[in-house]
Amino acid sequence: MIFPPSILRIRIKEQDSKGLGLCLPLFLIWPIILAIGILLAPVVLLAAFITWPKGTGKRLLLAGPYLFNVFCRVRGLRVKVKDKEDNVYISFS
Amino acid sequence: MSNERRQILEMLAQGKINTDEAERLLDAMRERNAGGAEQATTVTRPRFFRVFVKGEDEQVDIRVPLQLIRAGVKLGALIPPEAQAKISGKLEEKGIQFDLSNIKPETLEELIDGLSGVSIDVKDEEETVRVFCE
Repeated sequence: MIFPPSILRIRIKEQDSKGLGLCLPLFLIWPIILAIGILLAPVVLLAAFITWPKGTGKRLLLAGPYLFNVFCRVRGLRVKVKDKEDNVYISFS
Repeated sequence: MSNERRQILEMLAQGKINTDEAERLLDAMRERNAGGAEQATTVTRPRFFRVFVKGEDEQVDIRVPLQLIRAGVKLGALIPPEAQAKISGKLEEKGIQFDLSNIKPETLEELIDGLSGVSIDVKDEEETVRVFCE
């Protein structure tokens, strides 16, 4: 079972400032994403049905699950950038 | 028959070793081969693509899950060919020769398999660049 990332950590520190540290609980937006998905499903299905003869219907139908897959696979992404003055850290877990 | 096994049997035939010694050597060879096969089957596939750049004053460390790249390629395959051509054209205008249609899930798997044992290390007096999978 694949789960979307649950926590997003952001740390930004500049030389002359205290810096900013955020720990965003992404799991709180899971229900929102689910609700949006359920609401959009009939619209996407209808659009896919209409555009099926043109060949774009299949793409439209797969776009949702594939986008969700990309969102889930972001878990583990980590970016650290540091120089003399600034320090940026972003991590999905 | 393997080369090592033949050598042991030849040594036995020439009288350089006795039957007990030959048996011990053959057993040791068998155990070693079994261990090697087990090791080969338990080799783990890499999970992350890492790019690490360290300069004099700056440092960049990026870890991208390979599953994210796979998912991205799958999503990219949904882009209509006309749009892909437009994207490639715009990239070429910027001096980047990159054709999105060339990246397919099958070729990506081959690339990832190939990358698993590859580590690129570039080092000079001021900078270090490492690209590898872990």
